[in-house]
Amino acid sequence: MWAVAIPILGIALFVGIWQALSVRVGIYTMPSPSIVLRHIQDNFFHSEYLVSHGLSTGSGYITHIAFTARNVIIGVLIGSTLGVTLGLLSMRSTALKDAVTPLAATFGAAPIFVAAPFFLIWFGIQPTAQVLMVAFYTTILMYIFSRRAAENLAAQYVESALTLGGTGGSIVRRIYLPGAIPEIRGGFRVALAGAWGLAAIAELLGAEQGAGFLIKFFATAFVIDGMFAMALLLGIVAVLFDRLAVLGFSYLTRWAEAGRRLGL
Amino acid sequence: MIAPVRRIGESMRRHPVSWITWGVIFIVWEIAAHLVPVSTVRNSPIVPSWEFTFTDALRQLSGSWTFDYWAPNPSRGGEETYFGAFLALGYHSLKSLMRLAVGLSIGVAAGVGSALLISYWRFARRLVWTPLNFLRMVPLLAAIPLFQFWFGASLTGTTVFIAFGVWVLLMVSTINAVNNVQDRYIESARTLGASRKRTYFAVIVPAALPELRTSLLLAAGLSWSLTVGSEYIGLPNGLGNIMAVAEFNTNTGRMILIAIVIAIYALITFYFLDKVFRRLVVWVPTLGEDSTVTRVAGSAAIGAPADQPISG
Amino acid sequence: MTGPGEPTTTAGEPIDHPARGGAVHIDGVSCVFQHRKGHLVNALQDVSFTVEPGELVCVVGPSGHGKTTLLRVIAGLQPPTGGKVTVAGKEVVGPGSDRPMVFQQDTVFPWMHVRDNVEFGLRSKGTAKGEREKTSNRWLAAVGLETFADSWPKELSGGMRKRVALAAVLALDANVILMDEPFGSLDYFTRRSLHELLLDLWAQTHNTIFFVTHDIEEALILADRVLLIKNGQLVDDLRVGLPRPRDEDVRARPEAVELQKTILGHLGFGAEVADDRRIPAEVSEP
Repeated sequence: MWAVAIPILGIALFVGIWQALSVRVGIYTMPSPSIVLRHIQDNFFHSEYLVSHGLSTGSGYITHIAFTARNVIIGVLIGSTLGVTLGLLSMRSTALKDAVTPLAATFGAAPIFVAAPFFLIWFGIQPTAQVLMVAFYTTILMYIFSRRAAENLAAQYVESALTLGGTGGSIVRRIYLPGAIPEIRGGFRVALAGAWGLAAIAELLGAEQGAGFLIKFFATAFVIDGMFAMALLLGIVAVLFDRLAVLGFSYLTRWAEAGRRLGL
Repeated sequence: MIAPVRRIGESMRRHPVSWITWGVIFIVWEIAAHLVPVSTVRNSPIVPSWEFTFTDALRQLSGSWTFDYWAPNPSRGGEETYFGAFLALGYHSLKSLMRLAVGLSIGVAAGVGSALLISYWRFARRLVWTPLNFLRMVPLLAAIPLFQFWFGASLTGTTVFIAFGVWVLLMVSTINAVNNVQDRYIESARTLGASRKRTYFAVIVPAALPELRTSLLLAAGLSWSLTVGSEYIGLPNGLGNIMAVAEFNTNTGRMILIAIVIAIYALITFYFLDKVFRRLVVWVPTLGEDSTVTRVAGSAAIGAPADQPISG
Repeated sequence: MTGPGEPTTTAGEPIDHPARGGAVHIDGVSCVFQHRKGHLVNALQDVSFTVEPGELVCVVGPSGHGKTTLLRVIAGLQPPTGGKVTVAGKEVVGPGSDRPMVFQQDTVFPWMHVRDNVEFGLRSKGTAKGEREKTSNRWLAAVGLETFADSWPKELSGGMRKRVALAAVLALDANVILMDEPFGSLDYFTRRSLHELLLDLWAQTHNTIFFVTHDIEEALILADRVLLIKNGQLVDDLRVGLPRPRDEDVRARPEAVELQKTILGHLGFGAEVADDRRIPAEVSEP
């Protein structure tokens, strides 16, 4: 029972602090939880505000969240496929490793605001630039993570596979890939969580729809409730997708010994 | 002077492919620069050539030198000079570095401090876990406009913003690190007669510290992202602001220059922080096997804890 | 090929084994490692011997003295810095399914069902599905795990996982099988039952087996021949003429005790150790 009660209590505490802050600084600076909730309720499926401001795309917040979600999903899928493939292949090819690792380290060190302008200039059409930006960083992150996961995979699995006659391709596919999945899981969740911010920024800087675009739109018009609502919605959607990822990975890693769960 | 040269030589011999890759990228970029249609605006090639980047584009950076002394002020009709460009670069770097340093320090201190305090009680740890994880999932970068609405385009605003981001990240990872301390250490300390308080500060806290290494580096990456982000979106100075101005003018040469400078700063920050951290936890046997830089790559953009099992 | 389905000849004298495959020649093999601090370590120094087809050879010695390195060189996992290994006239240049290995650690792939583990080598060889299934069924039955074909390895005990590893190696029907302290991590009773299983299967398959161990009792139970490795050198090559099965009575015979004394003597322990069969802690493998 405590397992359910404590998180609920925690959330209540969080909402309470939010409420107290909003009372303290005023609802025009920080809207209270109920105001934000009502704002979401009024605008989620159909928003008079957006329609009256002549936004042709999307009459409710849901359309914009869906746009962002689509960019995130496509970008993360492309990026993680590419990143994991490169990362695992690089375990069997020093040349590939030497070629990709320094690039990943260097480009990975560049903040999104540094890379974003190039993506916008080169692939300016939405949603290509947005999807590519998410895919770019996901690739880098998943490359690093899958390499690390494969490196941490006990060497004897690979050696055993070699003495049983396994060769390059089959070792990557049948040893590294499944064996690295439990550790890749953590990296994937990090990439997925980060992707929402990336997509939002990419929209904020150069798109005509999406959650990020709406945040900018509200910022220029000082619609503080709207900004709060979008941040909250993005957080909720990110948590939901994270849960989905956890479910998916728990199927993929059903063979693994039950690891140490976070038994806080 | 000789040692770095020898190290580069050694690296070229051991990883020729890495150097060839950089060479190929450099050359392909240059070829692309000469192949793509040149826009009518002289300063905004779609792909800036290197000779343009390191001459004209570099000199144009002096446009961000807005003072009337030491070098001509181009915004008041002064001449664009290389000296002015370096002055501008130095000035705006200093602005960015200061925001970063203050925000990061406050964030780290607050994050680790509050987490260690709260972690002393298991109940408190469990209580804050869910809401903290939710906060962590809210894309902070997208909230830049919100923070600027609150605090205006000031040093305080940026600092609070960076510190807040770092605080959330480090609080989550510190609580997690404390929670991951192996029971056998705790039990051993208790059987040796240590009090609960002493066990916590003499055993649990030191045992949890090494796990913070990645989080600390990620916090550095995150704070770079947040610094550049808030400068890009609203502040009148700093490297992010130069980037925004360059982007506004589609001056790709200047953009690439700033991109290189920021990437170098970020790498130096990671390197430096890691050195400091290793000093702090010299007793850990396995630190330092893998390279810092590759561990945190991608973090600058995303700024999420890499070693984080998050929850569940 | 021969398999466990054929009439069993309970393990008799080693001489009776029909030969299969070619001999294994170890020819002046040396292995020098450069330590991180710079100094060189001679893991193997000019080791030479020949193993006839169908022999079960135990390689015995203290840990860190080169046994495992020798086995890894034969497996092709570790290139020697000098000399060469030839199996049936072919020089070893890398690992291959003609010399599969059972490792000391648990190497059963946890992400594959038991059956897929047994079929791993066959699949790499490109064996057709039907044939593969037939072979894995046969070997799963041979190691007594036919009802666990569709289980995950985590559902098995450590001893059962060793049986899976054994089945995976035997399924390849290789002439040479390498075993690196395969039962070292198991408890005494499980180990003994696996010895019996191994000898039973070997009596039917007649592979050449290299078995690395630091346990002299294990060597006396299993070996046709014992190679003693110390400080990277081959210090003795002993025939074990004891009749099989090598139960407690056989191992208590004077010639068995004598053999044990010889081995211990080579490793630097006095005769008195032979009686209580205790190996001092610093020699036993971690």
